[in-house]
Amino acid sequence: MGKKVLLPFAAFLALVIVTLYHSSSSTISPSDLIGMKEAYGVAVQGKVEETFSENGQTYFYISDGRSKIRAVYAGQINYGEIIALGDWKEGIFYVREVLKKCHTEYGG
Amino acid sequence: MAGFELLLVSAIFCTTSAILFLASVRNLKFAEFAEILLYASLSCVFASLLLLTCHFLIDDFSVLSVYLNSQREMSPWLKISAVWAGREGSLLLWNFLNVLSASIFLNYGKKDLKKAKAMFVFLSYASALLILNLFSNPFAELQFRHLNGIGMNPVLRTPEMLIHPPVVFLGYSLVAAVYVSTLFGIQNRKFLISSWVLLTAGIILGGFWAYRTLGWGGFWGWDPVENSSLLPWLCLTAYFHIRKGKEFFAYLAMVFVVFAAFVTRSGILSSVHAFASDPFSFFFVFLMVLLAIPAVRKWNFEGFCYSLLIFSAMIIVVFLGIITSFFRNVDRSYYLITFVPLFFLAVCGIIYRFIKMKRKLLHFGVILLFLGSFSVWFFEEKRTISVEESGLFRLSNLSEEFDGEKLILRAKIESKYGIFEPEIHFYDNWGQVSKVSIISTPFLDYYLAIRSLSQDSIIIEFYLVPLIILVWLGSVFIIFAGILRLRD
Repeated sequence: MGKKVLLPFAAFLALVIVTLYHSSSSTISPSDLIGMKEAYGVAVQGKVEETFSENGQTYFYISDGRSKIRAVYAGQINYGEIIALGDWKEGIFYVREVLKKCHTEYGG
Repeated sequence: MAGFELLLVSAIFCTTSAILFLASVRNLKFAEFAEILLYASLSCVFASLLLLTCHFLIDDFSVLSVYLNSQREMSPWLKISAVWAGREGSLLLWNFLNVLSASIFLNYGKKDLKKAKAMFVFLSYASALLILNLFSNPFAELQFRHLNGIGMNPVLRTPEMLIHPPVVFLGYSLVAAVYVSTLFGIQNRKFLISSWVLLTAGIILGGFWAYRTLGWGGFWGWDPVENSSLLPWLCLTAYFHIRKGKEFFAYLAMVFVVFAAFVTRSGILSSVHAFASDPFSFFFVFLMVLLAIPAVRKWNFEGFCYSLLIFSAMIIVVFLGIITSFFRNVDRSYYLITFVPLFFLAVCGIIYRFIKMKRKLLHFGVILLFLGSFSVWFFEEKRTISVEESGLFRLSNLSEEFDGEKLILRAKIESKYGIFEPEIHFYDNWGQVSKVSIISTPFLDYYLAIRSLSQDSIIIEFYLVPLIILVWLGSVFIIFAGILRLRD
């Protein structure tokens, strides 16, 4: 035991850190997004406002208190804080996935 | 306001009891009085918890935590589970279980000097959390009484909410008993196994709950809060698998219990997974540092073995993932690339030594759990389908019903897999929640939920979940084998 094992262990840890770097992304706010022309595969964090549903699509706004962006999602959206993953094109955020977990609400 | 006073008296009794236990190391006559005070503290905190439950059951919306978490229309069992749905009530429950565990720990085995020292540490920790509860007061009153409350979030209105948090908190409380007994060299096997079984049961119950809830990422979503509950469990599991330096993991388990509380309550997570922040939550950091002192002193490279390396690597992977999620979104691919190979190595080790192993049922459960998890994580299929356009599904009936709490819209969808009956629950002030319908077969679960519904279109989410049954079967074996070990 000892050095022989610690070396691969250290190598593994280095791999973990590299993987972590590549598998993590920062969320951006509507204010950040509004300044971009296009953005793909981004995670936007903000509050849901003014929802409206038609033909299975929900149209709504995501706001960070300073700016708000138009968004559309094929599914239900409830009011509250969300992180939405999707693409930003032509002034509309096309939401592919909404991250919403139990722990969001559970204050225990 | 009697509830708050009871909590205050309980904190005073608990603190005094801790001091008297310390004094009893020099003069044994203090021990008896310390013990009486401990039971008095237990009675007070229990009475406080009962009183809070009564406030919930009688719809006393003048109490802030009742107003925020309960509603007239909720059934009595939902109102009881709403007691620990809030930050303050859950801390009260945890405090009750801490003092209860301390009382059980005191009466388990000999009451000697070592026990007195251990009780001092245990009750100091319990007192600290009781005092914190005074600042996070579950009995805080509103200036006027509302006619109705906001209510518990609909996704939490399930039977699991009644069981899952108490099981996890009891597991956490028993980890404290493991910590102090390890610190003073007291025999702690039963506490160790009990806490491990409870943590396992808590994690699995949570997984089962998450699996049946749309949008929670399946049975294990690698959420920072889920992951933080995995850390103490990994530490205790490591404790069982190594010989030299195992105390380190008993201490680390306790540090991670407090870390889990910090992650849950601090609001530090910049994600939707974050809770409302608690201004006193940084107290947990202070507590973590104190509790980590013995762990740092016990850190010893000499005792390293292969099991230790695997568990250490797992703990580091999960811990780094949680820490990173404080400021960035961590994709599940990180865990699939790093944690799953470690899990695979651990299972390979089990298979290699399976014939010689003593606890075959438990390890067989782990193998099944791995096979099930692996198939779900890597081979699950998800489709978003419009019912009208797809030839696979046909809406045969749509009915609605009001059960006094919510409007339930029930769809009957026929398919070649069977008949699905997904529901959408509409709440007055909470919007709508989609309830899944699952058809289980031995190899595949067909999992369906309505994603959106309008007059001329129904969009569903349809999942093919392979071998999820192995996850449940493996988990049952693990818990059952753990309980059997308690009888040894």
